[in-house]
Amino acid sequence: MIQRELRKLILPLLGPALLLHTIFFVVPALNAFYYSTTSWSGITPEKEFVGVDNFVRAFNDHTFVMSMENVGYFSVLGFVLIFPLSLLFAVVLSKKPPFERLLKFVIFAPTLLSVVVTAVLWGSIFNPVIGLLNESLRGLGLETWTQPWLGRRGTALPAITVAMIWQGLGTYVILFLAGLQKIPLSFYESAELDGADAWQQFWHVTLPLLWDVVQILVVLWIIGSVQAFALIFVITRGYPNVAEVIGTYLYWAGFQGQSIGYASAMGVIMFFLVLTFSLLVNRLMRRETIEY
Amino acid sequence: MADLRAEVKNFSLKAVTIFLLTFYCLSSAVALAWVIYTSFKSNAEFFASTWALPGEWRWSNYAYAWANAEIGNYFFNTAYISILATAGTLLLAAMAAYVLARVVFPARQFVFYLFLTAMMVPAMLYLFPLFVQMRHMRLTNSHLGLILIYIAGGLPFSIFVLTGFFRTLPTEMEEAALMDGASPWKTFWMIMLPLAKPGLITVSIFSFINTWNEFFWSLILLRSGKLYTLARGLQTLFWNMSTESRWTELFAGLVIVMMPLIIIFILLQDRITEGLTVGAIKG
Repeated sequence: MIQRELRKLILPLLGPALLLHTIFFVVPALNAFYYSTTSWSGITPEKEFVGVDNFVRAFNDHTFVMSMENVGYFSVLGFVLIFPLSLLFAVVLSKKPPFERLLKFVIFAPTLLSVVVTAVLWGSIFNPVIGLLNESLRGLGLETWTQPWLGRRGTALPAITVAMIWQGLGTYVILFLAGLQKIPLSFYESAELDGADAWQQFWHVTLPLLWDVVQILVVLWIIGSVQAFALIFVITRGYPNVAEVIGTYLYWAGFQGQSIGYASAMGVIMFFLVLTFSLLVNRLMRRETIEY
Repeated sequence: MADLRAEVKNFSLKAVTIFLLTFYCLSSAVALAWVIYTSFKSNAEFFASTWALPGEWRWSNYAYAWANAEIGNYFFNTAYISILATAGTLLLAAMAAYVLARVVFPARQFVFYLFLTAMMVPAMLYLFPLFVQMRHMRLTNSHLGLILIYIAGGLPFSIFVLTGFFRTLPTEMEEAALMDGASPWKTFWMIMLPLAKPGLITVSIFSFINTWNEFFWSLILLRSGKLYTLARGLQTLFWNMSTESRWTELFAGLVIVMMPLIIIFILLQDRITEGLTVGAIKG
């Protein structure tokens, strides 16, 4: 009876949201797969079907291959750095350290700032002429160390990774903190009775029990790197550059290169990368999770 | 002996931790302080020395950023877009979430996952199709188009959170209301929606911060400068530095953009950190 009454609500309450979702997500997302099989320029109306040509072109395109490599670089270096850093900060914060609120502010505030703020801030720090980094090196008498940080691939990629970490750290600390709070205190008590020191407790109790959090974080970081766009786009002023990622190259190909078909194919590749990594990492790590 | 070794190990572990923490926090704080005090310098001072403190505190940089560089205009654009988009997201998401949480119907699971899918699909996938579609609908270079995209984009996450929230609410109250002859429509608006207040607050804080910061779609859709949002305007200002070199005014603009969020964060720290946990999982 009650359900029959409630069903009257389906159309008026669910309808508007579903309509917007269909227009602004479902239809364009499906269209992307269609566009990716055409040679559409975006200017003339003709959309010629070209099968998988756009995908073949992508994997033979040096710039696209380089942007994939850069994505790989950001995924690996970024995670190797952010993982220990965020875990460390989470463990410290979970112990109610002195200056707790201040610490939280420094760690979490960057997460809330617009990606443009992060880009402008770090873009200014790495600026070769007025940048804080080169100026500091000069001040310390390390003139020879100064360089155009964002101009060469060898320094641009680590520099951008730093900015990514600065912005992302808060999220990772939060997730670790949530995971830490779920570990029962009794586990530590019994470990202590068995004579485990702080390091052993961390290694044998904390880390294994945080495994499912680690799993989420790996997926999140890889997905974030695959989708990277705004930070790099703003820092590099939208020019084709050494730190090109799939997102920036795709944007360029669609708006400047006038090949919507090709750009959509890159979008499809990006989509499948995100999907594959989510599924793969989930499968690889699921078995290791400890139930408690 | 073993004890001593354990102690040394513990001590060095602590030392490394404290060093890393201090180093990170200090460099963050220095970077932030640098932006703030530089925003009061003249450009001549800035080019003479990047590090030096301002000789006099020049508020005129802020006046320039606010008026001449149009940050003020962007500020109002962003404020009203964010408010409308947040209100729209909240309303539509609460309505949809209630149905998805409480009403049993055949396609329920499918619709729920249809919304959730959007959280895992990169915007880059549908960027061009949506852009072309917006052009057909004459919604490019318009605030209405941007607001609609923000509402649609905010739905999946908000529906995800609110559906979870509605499921935790007891069913007795709505059952009693319906038994007493209240219409389901009235039951939703008068009884269930007020009960969902804590969930609605979390979602609106999130939705507001996200739209306030949003850059991607404002980059894609907005062409004329007077329509820009803060993120879009700041980006343009930054890119113009290569020809204009008004760095200290740029930094004043940067501070204006950062301040509201810093203030929100200080006021709502606990609620935001709690919301971030949910927000992070959405990916």
